Amino acid sequence: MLVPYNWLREWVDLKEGPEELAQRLTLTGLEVEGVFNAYEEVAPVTVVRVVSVAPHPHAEKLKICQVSDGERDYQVVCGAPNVREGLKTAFAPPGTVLFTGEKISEAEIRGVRSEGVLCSPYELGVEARKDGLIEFSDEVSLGRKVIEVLGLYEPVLEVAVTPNRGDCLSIYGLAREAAAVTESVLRPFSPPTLPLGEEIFSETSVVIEVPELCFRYAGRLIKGVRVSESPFEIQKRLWFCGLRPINNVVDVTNYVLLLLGQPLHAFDFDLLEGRRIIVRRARPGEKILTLDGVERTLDESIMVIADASRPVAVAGIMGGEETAVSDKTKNVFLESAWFNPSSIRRSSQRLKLSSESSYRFERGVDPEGVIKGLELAASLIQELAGGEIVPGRVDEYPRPYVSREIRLSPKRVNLYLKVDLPEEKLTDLLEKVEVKVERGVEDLICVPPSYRHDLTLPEDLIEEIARLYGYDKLPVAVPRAEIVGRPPRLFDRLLRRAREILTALGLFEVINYSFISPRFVSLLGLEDDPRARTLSLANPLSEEQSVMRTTLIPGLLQTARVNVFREVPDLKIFEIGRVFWPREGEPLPEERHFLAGLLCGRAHPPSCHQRPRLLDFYDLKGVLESLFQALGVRGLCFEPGAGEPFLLPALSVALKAGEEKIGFAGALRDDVLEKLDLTGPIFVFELDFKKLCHLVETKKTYQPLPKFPATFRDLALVVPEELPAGDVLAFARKLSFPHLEDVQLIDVYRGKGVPAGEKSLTLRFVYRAKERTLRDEEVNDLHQQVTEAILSHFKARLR
Amino acid sequence: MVDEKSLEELKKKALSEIKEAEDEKGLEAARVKFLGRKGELTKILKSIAQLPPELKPVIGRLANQIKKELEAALKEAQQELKKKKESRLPGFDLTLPGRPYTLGKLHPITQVMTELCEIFLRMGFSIATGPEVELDYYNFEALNIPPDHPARDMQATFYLTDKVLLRTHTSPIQIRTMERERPPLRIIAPGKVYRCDSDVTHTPMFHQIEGLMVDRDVSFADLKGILSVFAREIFGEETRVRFRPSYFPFTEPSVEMDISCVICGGEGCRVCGQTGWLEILGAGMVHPNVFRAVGYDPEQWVGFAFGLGVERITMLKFGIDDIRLFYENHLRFLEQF
Repeated sequence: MLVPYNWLREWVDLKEGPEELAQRLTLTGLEVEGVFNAYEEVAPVTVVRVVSVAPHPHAEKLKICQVSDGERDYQVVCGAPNVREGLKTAFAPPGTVLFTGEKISEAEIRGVRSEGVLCSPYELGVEARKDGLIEFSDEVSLGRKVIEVLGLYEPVLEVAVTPNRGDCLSIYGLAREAAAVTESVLRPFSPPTLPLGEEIFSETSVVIEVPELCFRYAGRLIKGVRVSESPFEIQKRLWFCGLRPINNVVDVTNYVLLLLGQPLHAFDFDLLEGRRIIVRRARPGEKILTLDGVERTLDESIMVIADASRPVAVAGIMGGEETAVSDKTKNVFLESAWFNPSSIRRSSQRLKLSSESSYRFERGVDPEGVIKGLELAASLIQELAGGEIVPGRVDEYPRPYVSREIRLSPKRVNLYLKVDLPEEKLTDLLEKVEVKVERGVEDLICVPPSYRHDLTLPEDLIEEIARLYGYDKLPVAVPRAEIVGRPPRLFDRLLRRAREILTALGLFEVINYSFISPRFVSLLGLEDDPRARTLSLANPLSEEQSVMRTTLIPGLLQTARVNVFREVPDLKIFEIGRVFWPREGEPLPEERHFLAGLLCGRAHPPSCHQRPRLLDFYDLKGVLESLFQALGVRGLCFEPGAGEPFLLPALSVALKAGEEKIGFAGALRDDVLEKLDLTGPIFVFELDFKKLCHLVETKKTYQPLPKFPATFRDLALVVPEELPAGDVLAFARKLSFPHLEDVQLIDVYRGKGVPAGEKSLTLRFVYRAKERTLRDEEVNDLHQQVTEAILSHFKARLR
Repeated sequence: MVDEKSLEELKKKALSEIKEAEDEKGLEAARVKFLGRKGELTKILKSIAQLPPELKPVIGRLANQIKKELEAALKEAQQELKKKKESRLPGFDLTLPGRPYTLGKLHPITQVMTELCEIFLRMGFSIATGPEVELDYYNFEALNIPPDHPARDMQATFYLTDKVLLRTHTSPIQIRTMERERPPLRIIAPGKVYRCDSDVTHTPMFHQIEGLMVDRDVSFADLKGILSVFAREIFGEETRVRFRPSYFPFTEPSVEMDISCVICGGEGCRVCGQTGWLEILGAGMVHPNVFRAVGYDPEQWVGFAFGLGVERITMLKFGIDDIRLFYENHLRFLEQF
């Protein structure tokens, strides 16, 4: 909310300047986001000299002026009577917002270009005159800012009022708060005394059909008004607060709303059919054209103000265009009401329409302020627009406000805040914010004022005491360590370990958004995959971020694009995050922790020591093997062919724990790459991290170090190209011969000496006895048996 | 005829040849030339027997002394050569860059999140988690934010259905934890949260850490204590803190904690908007309605809760001026941390 400091000071005798006050309010709970000059909007306006004036070819009243700010010239089309050569006046360049609300931009005016506007005193918010340009004396130098030349300064505090403090959404409310938190005195507000009586009831009537939505509805009738412009001082105040002047009647309703926080609405009484008011729910399909020029279709959840036949306002939110006060209006019906805050909020959300009024109603206006606002506004309308206030006022009040009693235990206050404040001090602090305090048997019996809807519990009063006493004066303690934190769960530890291992392997961690484009389904060819079933956001920021991810791969591909397109073609990245899988019959999805990665480009950064090479499948597999090994994963195998529609079958593997697939790894297909404008090869992997954790063997058992040396024997055999080396290795490892300790695959060879269609594999066997050194002949004998077993099983031959 | 003068000349010649030898081979040649079996000095030593008796002792002593000197010079020259050889290996240029062993790095958010969590773990807090797709009940209602409450405006919410949303804060984990466990409690809950907002200072997804402590005699003073310790641990001993009243529907009293600006130290600068203070987290005493929602008796239990934005702290720590950089994941950005 925008609060002009000088207006505030009319109601409270502040000793603090605007900055000091801002600081004080901030430290007591109303954050002031800044203090600025209300004239900042016209700050771009500078002093210029009219260099030349020429007639406009297509408009008699307009002139084409060349003006200079001392640095450069501008061409401006101007219709002011006092524009003349040599005149020093004010020039508003494009981007300026004038007092009238007009935003200046470069324009063609009847076929002539105009680079800005020359301003009248009114357009600058200086005085009411609008019949000619502002004039400066010759001494004023060109190019100076007009706000500096004229000393235009009006400090305005921008206060971020929290939703619980609806009572501070007005000048008077803030004056009251300022008085409470500084040592200042509030000037009491008393409404003017207006004629009472019964006359109004012969002119109109008000019926509240929905007392559960409308707690109070009051009104006055002012007859014979002349609608015109408001006095300049009123217009200026509205402008300082960010509102635009409209006419004297409407401006009064806004003025009182700003001053007292009571929303008001003025109807053209003669346009109300039946000259009466009914507060009711809208009928299904009923329509209203609201003041913002939009026709709105209503339903029964929305409360309206209606005349005999139709809605004339959306209650508490916005009036209707058809019954609005205009130049022709003679008689005004003025409404001041107190509506159910939840109802106003629901309607406002439903219609996607909010206003200064609805904002205040939602946050709770003062039920006891309804009449004050009404009386002030009625008398101001009479003052500014003339007319007669019809004696008497409507005041339907089906649910009178009942004040609350809160029992506050001083002991509890002191325990809660760890202080030792006497009852008198507590009473004193609470009375600063107009809470009435009486001493009960053990407790203080507190009655908050009618405008403080936020004070309902003892804790609410404790907060008042704390903030008025000063948060910084309250003591500081460190809690006793009675309970001790639990160590992180195994899952969290493994998660952290996995991150460490992957970074040690050279991968960078990335974090992508959890929502992605639904196009990932067709991109990855997942149409028939369960992962195509996604959760959609009802209100996404964009289509690109509209469904919850079911796989991390699309995010990684997006990251790859960002990097490859911006000069980082070599990437090794991973992400650990949740994916969201809808569950049948459950409101919430299953959230699974996935680990995924992407590798592309060169294996090493350019270096004089290594010849460059592209990353390949074995880099991918190596990363995963190292990860699994370091985590202590047992029983996970790589099975050729991932069965993923976006991976090359020939260059991908499924990660399997027994029969269950817990992930995949491999190269993206060319058609996927093409859709992404990327060139391959690009390798990705993804696995269900929770499932991986189930395979982690945390128990480690020491193995004694060998006491006797090992003996090595190599075996080179020739096998058909189609035979996977892994099969041979696995078979060799499963052989149970005494003293055979380990087998490694140390070479795969194709070429000279090996016929086409075949390959040579070299296996290295490690033999060792636990209790002695093996003799050569013994090893030869064993190795002979091993060789025969392998050769005969695979029908292979020695190379 | 050998005399003292010719011996001295021989010595001079030998020493200079030893000195000039460029390598092992040259040195060996010099040794052979003078001290070898047929070397010049060896010859003289052998011929001493034939000298007249009065010269024998003089020449003999001198010749032996020269022999010793030459041997010493040879030894020294050998060591010099060895030293020279060890100091330079052909083909090696020690100014070349090393062979690359590249390490990856953790995302800056992960790094800071871990650091923040560790501070609280040391203070006896345990980690709790909860779902990111959450029920309206846990995200709002149980936190004392009924459906038509204007406080819902404080958090622009992504909805999936009327009742299901992306959590807008980590506070629902408070509720889920309290529903599951009995007090006393000390938990922190780090995680992703979501709000419908996107500009230089907002991304639709970001990270928070929630804290909750519930016990029989916790007070506002403990809240101030824990959070002051935290601020100094993360931003340094010299950091000053201040507490301001604020409003969160699920705490009462509510508080916002500011720290002295990490950029200007409190003098006032662009980052702190000339105030010298930076808003760093929100906190407060747990609202009695929240305790009631989870079945804790507000007469028996007192607690405080806090929530802090990890991105904001990370940006302050590293001087990052655009929050969107975190989720672009450009390597030139990630490798800086």
